[in-house]
Amino acid sequence: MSEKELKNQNCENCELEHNDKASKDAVKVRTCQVYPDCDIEEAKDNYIVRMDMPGLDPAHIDVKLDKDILTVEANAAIEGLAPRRYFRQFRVMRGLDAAKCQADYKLGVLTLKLSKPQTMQPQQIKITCD
Amino acid sequence: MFTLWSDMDRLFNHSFSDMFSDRMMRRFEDSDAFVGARRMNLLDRGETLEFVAELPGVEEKDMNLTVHGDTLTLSAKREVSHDKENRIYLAERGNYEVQRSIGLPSRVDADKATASFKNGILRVVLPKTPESQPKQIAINA
Repeated sequence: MSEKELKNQNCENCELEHNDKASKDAVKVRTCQVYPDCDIEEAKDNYIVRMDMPGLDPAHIDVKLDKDILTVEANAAIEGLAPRRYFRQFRVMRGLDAAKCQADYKLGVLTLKLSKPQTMQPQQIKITCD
Repeated sequence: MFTLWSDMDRLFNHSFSDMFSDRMMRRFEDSDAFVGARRMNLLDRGETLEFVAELPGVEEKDMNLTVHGDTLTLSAKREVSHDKENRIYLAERGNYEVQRSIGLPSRVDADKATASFKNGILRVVLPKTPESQPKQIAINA
């Protein structure tokens, strides 16, 4: 499965490289790496991942799914606080379809909803007799 | 699906410095010593004082901000909730409560104070009273 980026429903530009001033400034000054707190729960049809990442522009959050590694990365340049880089990776199941996943960012919390693939639903196997 | 990797993830990502980081310290939030251990900063901008606080996930109704004399008081709480039927793989984000009273270094005009809460960051701008404003002193050569 080739590298696919999850579409953040609040952002129209996540396919572009984050070359804006805020992201570059955050990297120029010595940024501290932050491992955001995360909650993962399994619902009937999807997995819900919630991460505390305050102070971000949703357009600058990078959520990538590469085969079975889910990466969440973002640079934050918050005026008055130390610039930081949020970074966390997870190993997830193969076969997740990035197009079917949703992401949203509210009150500084990133919520990812990863749809379970069809193969996870119970399927009947037909037996053929000669 | 997340279980095995979470353990490996914790093992490889928690360096020794993280052991003593404020994130680890926040684990002990029941203790009075660590109440309100969210990152905050008070800055002197010359004409105003600026207070910045990280409060991810707090709703406006659960936040209270008051200025009385030369003290700024912030109280906020955040509760996490999940569907009872869902299976939990990881629960690092917890409920938290913040109760902080900060002494301000200058007198401020509470009537002209403004506060905004965007993407989990609370920003309070407190203009200083005229007598507390920085004044240039002329030097007679």
